[in-house]
Amino acid sequence: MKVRKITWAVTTLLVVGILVLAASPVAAQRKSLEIWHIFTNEHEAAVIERAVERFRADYPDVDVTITVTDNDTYKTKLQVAMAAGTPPDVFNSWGGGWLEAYVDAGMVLPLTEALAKDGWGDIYVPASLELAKFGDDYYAVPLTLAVVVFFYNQQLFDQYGWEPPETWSELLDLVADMRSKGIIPISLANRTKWPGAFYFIYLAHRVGGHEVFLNAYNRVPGYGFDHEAFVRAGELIQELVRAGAFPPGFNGLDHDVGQASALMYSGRAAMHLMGSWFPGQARAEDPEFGQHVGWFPFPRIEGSSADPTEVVAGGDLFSVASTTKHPEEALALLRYITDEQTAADWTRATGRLPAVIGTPIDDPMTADLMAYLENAGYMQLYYDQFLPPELGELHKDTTQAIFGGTMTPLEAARAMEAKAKELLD
Amino acid sequence: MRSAVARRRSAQWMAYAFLLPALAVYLTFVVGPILVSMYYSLFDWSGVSPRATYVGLQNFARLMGDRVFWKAVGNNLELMLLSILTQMPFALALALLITKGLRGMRFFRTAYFVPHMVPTVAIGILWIYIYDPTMGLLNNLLGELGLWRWQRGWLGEEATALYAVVGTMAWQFIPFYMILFQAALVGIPQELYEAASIDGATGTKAFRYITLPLLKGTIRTAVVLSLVGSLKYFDLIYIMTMGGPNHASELMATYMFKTAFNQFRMGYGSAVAVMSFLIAFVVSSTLLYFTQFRRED
Repeated sequence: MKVRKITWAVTTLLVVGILVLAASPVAAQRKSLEIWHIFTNEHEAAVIERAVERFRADYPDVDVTITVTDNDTYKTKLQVAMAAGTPPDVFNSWGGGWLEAYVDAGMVLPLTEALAKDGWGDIYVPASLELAKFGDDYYAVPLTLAVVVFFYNQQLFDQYGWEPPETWSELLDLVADMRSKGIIPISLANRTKWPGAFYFIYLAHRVGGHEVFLNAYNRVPGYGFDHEAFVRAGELIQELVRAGAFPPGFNGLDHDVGQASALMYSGRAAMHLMGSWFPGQARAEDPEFGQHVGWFPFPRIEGSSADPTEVVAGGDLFSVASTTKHPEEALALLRYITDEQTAADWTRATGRLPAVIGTPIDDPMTADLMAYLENAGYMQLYYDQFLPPELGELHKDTTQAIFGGTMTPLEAARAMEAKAKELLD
Repeated sequence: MRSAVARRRSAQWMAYAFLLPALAVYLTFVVGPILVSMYYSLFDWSGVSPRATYVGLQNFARLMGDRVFWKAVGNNLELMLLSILTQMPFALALALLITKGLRGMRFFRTAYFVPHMVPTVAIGILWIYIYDPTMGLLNNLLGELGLWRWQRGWLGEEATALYAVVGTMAWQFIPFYMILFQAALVGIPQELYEAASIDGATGTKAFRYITLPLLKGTIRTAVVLSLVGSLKYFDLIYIMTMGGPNHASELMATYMFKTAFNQFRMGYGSAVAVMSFLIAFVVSSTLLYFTQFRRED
């Protein structure tokens, strides 16, 4: 019986203790903000940390918690938090259909008014704000931009006397020559599907221009995702696959564990179609290789009337959740992590492109890429981010199947159009 | 003085009271979500939007005609069969070896068990590198042996992706079943073998007439574990192939994850979850029914 009495006493004590703790007023008046981002790279995370540090100095009454999550995990994690109605105050986003799903759900704070005040909105490259414009409102501001181009191993090119190709047929000739030298022409790890999707987007735009895609998306009569430009893009992909441009088993290689970049670093592959974050990543992961990276634009297609300066691009943006308890502070934090000072710090530390106009860029290749992006005839956001998620996923699935030869370009285009009819009409 | 009956009754209540927390956890995190998924599966809902449209059984009607889902069901069944066929015999063979009492067996037992102690994600990434078509261990080994023709993009080809992961799964799970069988083997009294050897039954005969019958219960348990595990399998497929390429290695669980989280179709994803639950439930309860039936005779 004694044991029992002790048990009861302990239990009662614990329960009372918990109740007292729960009822006591929370350590008064401090505000807290939570920010989630995906920059797992230490240089990148440090830039955000420094920006938040500046914010903390100016807002001593606000506690800021930073949570860093890897890209794919982040998307799931955020979705669960959103569904539970408790998203972080400030969060990483990419614009496009992905963000629009949350905007439609009323979970994202419109920034239009704040951007109009004292010229905040004017500091960014205009096209980058458009990534997150739905209706008449803006829902995110950009930290960084990325443009997709071909990167290449300059040492290999010098050794064999190769020149960056300007047209599709020059690319095919180059591929054939590289094959004959035992070099894998283009590195590609397509398990995650988006690296292969770059080819589809570029080719569709080199064949038909961006109007074809926009008109298909806006359901303009006479256009659709089964338009001949999309079919042709698929055919050209298969032409490249048949030419042996890619490493064996590329559809099963994992980009996220570095199977594509490893081929580049080791000199087994010569070219890599990737976002402009690649050189910075290469310098961090393999400094020796990082010094010999060159780039060239996606080749134009002979006989096509489409503007060959259109680019595939995207950016990392930040949004504020509409559920935030401290909108004023959250907006201020948003500004600190995307302002001129952060942009300059970001570019210096990571070699990635800034989204703020006039940011000083020391590195010549970064400056080159920035100029290329600024002079682009049109900036096309990655389809999978632009389109509603379900259609975006199908676009990646079908493109991977085109690469693998298990779907004909026409079948893929028809599947896309059928889904588009269902979702967009 | 209280009667013995009253004391026993109070002890019973105490036992129930101690069961309550576990029950609450079970109801909240297992039964609850299953019921909620069933409810969600009746809606067209993105998972984040406040708008959810009631659509009745439409999601299920759609599921019936969803080629990818049926492909996934087929893959799950194939995975189930292959897991049992690859893991059980190997595990049993290894268990027999390590119970032979040969010198240094302690080392082998530990070494063989190591794969099961490595986290699944690490195993997945390790094997991604082993299967790497250009720089991977497997293809290079085949090359050294002169078997160029056998080289493949193991995870990247629709014909081999699922089997490549089955191989990795075997590597991960054989040690577990090996330990299970070893424990059962140790429990078989030596006298039986001695008696049998007097009667002239040694080697394979002893195995056939003593070891195997006495292992029946353990084998049955192992098969049930493997079967249920295969029906709800997710991790290595998600890590190594993401169900690809082109759904060649898609499983019910990975498809559910993709529809609910990547495509923002929580309603449809819930329908996939409910169907997978029903399929797993029917298959495993059928099996349990038959194994119980056997135990009685």
